Amino acid sequence: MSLSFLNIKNNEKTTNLGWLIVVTITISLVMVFISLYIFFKSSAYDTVIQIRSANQKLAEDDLQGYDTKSPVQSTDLQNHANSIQPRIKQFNDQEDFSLELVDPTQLGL
Amino acid sequence: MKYVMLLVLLLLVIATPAIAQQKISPLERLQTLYNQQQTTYTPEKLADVSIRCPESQKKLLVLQRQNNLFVQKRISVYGDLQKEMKALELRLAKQGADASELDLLIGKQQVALEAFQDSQKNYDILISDLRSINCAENPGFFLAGISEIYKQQQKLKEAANAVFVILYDSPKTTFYPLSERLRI
Repeated sequence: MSLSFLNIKNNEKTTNLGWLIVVTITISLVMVFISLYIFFKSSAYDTVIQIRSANQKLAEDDLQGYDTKSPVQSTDLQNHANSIQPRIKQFNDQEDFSLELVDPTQLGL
Repeated sequence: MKYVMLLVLLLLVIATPAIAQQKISPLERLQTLYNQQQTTYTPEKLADVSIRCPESQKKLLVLQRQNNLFVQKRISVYGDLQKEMKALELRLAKQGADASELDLLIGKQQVALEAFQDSQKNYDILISDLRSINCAENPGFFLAGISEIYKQQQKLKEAANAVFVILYDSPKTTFYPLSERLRI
């Protein structure tokens, strides 16, 4: 049995190290390509694009009419905080999306 | 041989999303649900559903409209709040203040709002499917869809509640601490 940098020999077979490296790199490249392809085709990528575009839109167009320049005072944050709960308390998720609404008997079945 | 197998595998990976993206009809979607649920209905039950389902489809239309209204109202209010937060974040950034909590809150709200809209979309597609098929001829598929609506409603309720909780807790988690820090 003999051993060299590029060739590992035994009694039966000879394996070329350079060839092994080429195959490994090729398989890695194929796997990277497949992963990228799956990612770009996935809903995760769509979501990234959607969030990015939504943020851009929010920052550029939709904030027209909102003050985006004057310095924020502590009271501004408190006023905003105090306004949140009264505005969202009108929503009753338990009632509006009640499971009873989709009960088969409610739907006439 | 190995290369051929690798090539086939690669082609499968590429072809699968393309095949999945093909348009599916409402009947096919409900049939898929029916097959997944593997529920067997008695002939009497199916005959009863065939008679009653046209009335049920009318009720589904009312439910769909009502649901869309609830969702639109929420998206409008939550969207306004998000814009106000974004404006505050921009103002804080311009004065050099650290607004990382607010940035995190906007991100969390955005993700929750997207999930809520996705749930609504799935729910809406399901109701549209149920309304569009000839239910008298396909009572089994119709029942499978009705059974699925229950799950979709649960998901929608949870998604709506997730946005609500983020916003409801936001004064305590974000705004009051930020306000205190700004005062100092």
